[in-house]
Amino acid sequence: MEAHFKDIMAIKGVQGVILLDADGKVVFESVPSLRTEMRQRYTNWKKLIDTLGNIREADFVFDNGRVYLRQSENGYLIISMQSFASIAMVKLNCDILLPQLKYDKSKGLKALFRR
Amino acid sequence: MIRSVLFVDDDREMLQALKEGLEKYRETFSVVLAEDGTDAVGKLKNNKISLVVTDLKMPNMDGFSLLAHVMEKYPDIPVIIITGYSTSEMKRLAQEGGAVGYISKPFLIEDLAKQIMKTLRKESDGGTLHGVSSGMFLQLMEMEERTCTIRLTDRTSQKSGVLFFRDGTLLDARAGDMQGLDAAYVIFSWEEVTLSIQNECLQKDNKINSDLQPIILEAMRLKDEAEDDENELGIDETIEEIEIVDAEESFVDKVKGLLNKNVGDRCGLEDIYQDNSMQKVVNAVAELGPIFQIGMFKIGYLDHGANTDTIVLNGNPATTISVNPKCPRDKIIQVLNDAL
Repeated sequence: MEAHFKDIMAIKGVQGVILLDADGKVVFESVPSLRTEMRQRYTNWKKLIDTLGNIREADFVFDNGRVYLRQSENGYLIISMQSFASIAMVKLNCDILLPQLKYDKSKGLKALFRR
Repeated sequence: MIRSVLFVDDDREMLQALKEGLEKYRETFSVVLAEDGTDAVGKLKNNKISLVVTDLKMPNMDGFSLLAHVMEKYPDIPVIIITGYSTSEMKRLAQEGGAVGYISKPFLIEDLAKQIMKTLRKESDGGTLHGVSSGMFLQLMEMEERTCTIRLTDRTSQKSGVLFFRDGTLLDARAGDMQGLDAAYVIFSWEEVTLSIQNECLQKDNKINSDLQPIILEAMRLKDEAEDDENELGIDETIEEIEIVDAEESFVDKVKGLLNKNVGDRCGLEDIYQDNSMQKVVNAVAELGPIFQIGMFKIGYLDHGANTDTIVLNGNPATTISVNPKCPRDKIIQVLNDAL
C-alpha cells in the first residue's frame, strides 16, 4: 500500500501522508515522525473535515511546516511537510496519484488502491 | 552568436535523444545537459546559458525549485517546462512561477526546436549593437522610457551582464554572481560593449531604486579607485529600503498594502476583514501543529470550489481574505508568510 505514496514521500521535506475516507476515518497512514501518543490523542479527523466544510483543497502554513489537504473521490489526502518542501511538487504528485485511488465499497477498504 | 540551451531531465535516454535530435540546429544553439536541478544550478553558474528547458519530476532538486532558482538568480533566462504529467493546474503553477513555455510529453522534437528558436529570437528582438558606450546608450533608454532587457558584453574583459528596464527605470542588474546595484556598478564601468535588446522585461521588483546618473558617476568613481588601488574596491553596501510603517495603520490595511505592493492587481482581492467567523476553523487547524510538530498555525488557504477562495490568518480576531480562485495563491502565501 505504501508503494502508492512512495513518490510523494520521496519529495524532500515531506514528513507523512494520511488518507481518510469520506467520514474522516484513517484508511492509510505513513507519518514516520508522528509520535504514538500524538497519534492516539488525535483521532478526530472528522471534526477537522466537518469544520472545514465541503473543502476541495487547503494549504495550511505553520511556523515550522505546512499541511496540504486535498479532497479525493472518496475521502481526503493529508500531507504534512517541512517548510522547505516544494508544494508545487506535492500538488503535481497528488494530481498523478488521486486518479489511481478508487474505492470499491463491496470489497471494503482493502480494495481502495488500484493502479 | 550561438546560444547555449540547458536541458534538464533525470531520464538520460531522453537527454541523449534531445541532444541527437537537436543536432541539426547546432548553427543556432548548442545543447548543455544536466541530470537534475542541482546539476543544472552548477551548469548555470559555469556556462553562459540563454534558455533552460526542464522536466518537473526529478530527484534532488525538482523542476519547480529550479524554476524558482532561475527566476531569483537569472531572471533574464527564460524557462520552458516539459512534463509527462500535464494538468491545467500544473500549467498554471508553471506560468505563475515564471515559465515562458509548457510542453506536454510526448512531443515532436521539431515543435520543441520551434519554441526554443522563437524564445531565443526574443533575446534580441529589439536589435543588436556593437562597440557602444554603455553609459550613453543606457541613459538613452531612460530618456525614452523604454521597457526592455539589455544583455551586454564588455569588449575588454568579455564579461557579460544584464540590465532590466521598465518604463525607463532601471529595476535590476546581473553580472556574474552579482545582482542589484553592485552588478550595475560593474556593468556601467564598461566603456565599450556589444549589446542586444529584448523588448520585454520579466523583472518586476525594483532592486536599484536610483536614477542612472548617480549610478554611472559612482561606477566611474569605483573604477578610478580600483585602478588607483586594486586592493580597495570601496563598493558601497546596497542600502536596503527601510519601510516605515505608520503605527496607526490597521492590520487589515497593512495586509492590503502588502498584497498590493508585492502581488498587485493579480492578487484578486475581493474582501478583507477581521471577525470571529473563522475562529472554529483556526482552532481546528491549529491542533495539527503539535500533532505534526510543526509549530504554530499561521496562514490557511481554503478552496471550496466556490466563486472565491478564502485565506485565513491566525490572530485575535482572525483575518479573513476573500480572493479570486485564479489568484497566484503560492505567491500570496509566500508574501504573507514572509511578512507576518
